[in-house]
Amino acid sequence: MLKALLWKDYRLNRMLLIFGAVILFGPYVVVLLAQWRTGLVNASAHVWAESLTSACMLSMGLSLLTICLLSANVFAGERADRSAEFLASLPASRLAVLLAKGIVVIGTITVIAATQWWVVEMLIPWVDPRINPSLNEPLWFILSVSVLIGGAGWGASSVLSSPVGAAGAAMLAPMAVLSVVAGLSWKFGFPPENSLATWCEVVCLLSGLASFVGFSVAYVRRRDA
Amino acid sequence: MINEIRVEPAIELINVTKRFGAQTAVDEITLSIPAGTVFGLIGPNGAGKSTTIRMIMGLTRPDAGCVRVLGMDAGRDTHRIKRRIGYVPELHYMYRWMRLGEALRFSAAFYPTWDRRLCETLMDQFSLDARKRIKQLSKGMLAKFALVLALAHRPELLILDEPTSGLDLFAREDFLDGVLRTMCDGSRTVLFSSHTIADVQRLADSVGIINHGRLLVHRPVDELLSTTKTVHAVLADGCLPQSAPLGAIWERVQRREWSVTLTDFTPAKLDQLREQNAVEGVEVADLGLEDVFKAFVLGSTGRC
Repeated sequence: MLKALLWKDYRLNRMLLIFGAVILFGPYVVVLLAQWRTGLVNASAHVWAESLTSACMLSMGLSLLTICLLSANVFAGERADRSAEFLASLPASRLAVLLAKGIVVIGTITVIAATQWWVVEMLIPWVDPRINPSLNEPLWFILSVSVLIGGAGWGASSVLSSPVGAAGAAMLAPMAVLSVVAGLSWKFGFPPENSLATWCEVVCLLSGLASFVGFSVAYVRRRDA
Repeated sequence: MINEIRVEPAIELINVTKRFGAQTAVDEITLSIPAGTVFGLIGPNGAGKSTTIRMIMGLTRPDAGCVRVLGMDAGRDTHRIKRRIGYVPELHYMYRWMRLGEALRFSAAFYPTWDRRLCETLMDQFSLDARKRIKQLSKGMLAKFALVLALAHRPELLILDEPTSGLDLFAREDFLDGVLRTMCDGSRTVLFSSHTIADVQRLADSVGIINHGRLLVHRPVDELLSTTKTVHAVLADGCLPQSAPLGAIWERVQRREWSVTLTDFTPAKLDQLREQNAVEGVEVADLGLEDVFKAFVLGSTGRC
């Protein structure tokens, strides 16, 4: 049953997953092509590392869009065309439905995060061990925002019938959370300014995880199909 | 001492109520459908048929009362019940991008009792091509495909929610033939809701008429037709009806003609009508299911 649900969720989101793969790996391909076209294949390790850093920045930023669209579409997409009603008439347990969707969304976030982490922590230092690890901070910040966007999209998608509305909610979530944290810091001096970035990352991460867990429990326990 | 064996009804609703805000969609319905019978549920638009069926399917929970299906609680054992039910809704919201073969394989994964040979037979019988996409099917073909999905796991209970709505004559005939063939195996219970009274009369052993969420009557079709009559009485000049006999469900006065539809008709009721009213002549007319349906519905809304 889970295999069938996974296949269905993969097929439903196939275009988004292809789009996600393109914007995850596309910047690196562009860098390679650009190096080859400009004859810099034999360039120094430092130039290569700089190029990879630029590609990674672009890939990280764009992948937020994949996470946003995918998590927003995961439930609401089926509600928008009412195919969720067909699914509800089948003897599929809500837990299995949730698990299949979770594997697709959390699996995608994991692949994106693992790829970026590998590039930042392993590939770039391997290419040029002397390079300043300038991407470490943005990496952890973007990864925590990814979890928040994924969680907010997942939650909004589980209650709304419009993937567009859910995507909007997912995009607004980081702005709302970061505004609240920054506002608290400005008004009450907590969190302190010197650790504001860390606090933002922690709050984003926890809010995203809470949204994943909270809306999943609500989905499984709700009264009507 | 004789041990009485109680056969569990296939569907049992006890004082079931469902509200949507201030609107009561289903109002204290009590209904029992014995296993192995075909039950037709008829009612006008918005009568509560689909809500009742959705509660039986476990898709929505009642606000009050109890729904039992195949001996299980519809709210608690939804998953187990659905495995033993075949369901054809009025509107088919299948995954339109799937090919028919993919939809069959997808659905088969949820039913341990899925019968591939029966499925192939039904696909051939309805001339359905497994390579076609669902979005390419006409409305009639889609209804037939929904019936294949509903029957291929050999369900004990088949629920058809206005399945022939919007189908042309030929598609409707094919669909009903398919249903009739599956009904040859007498152990299956069928709940059939429809606007097309002729379809219900053709298939159903017993019928329930529902309006404004209330079940107005539930009887075997033959019994309902043989005991529901319309009496056309000619009133004496200048007189109005004084008292309708017990069991009057609908009446209408046009000039001197008083028409009154009675349930549980007996000659004694005719005598009672003559005794209590100034009538010059009476005539008793048999009714078709459509007339009986109209009488119950108009009577329940107080319309003439």
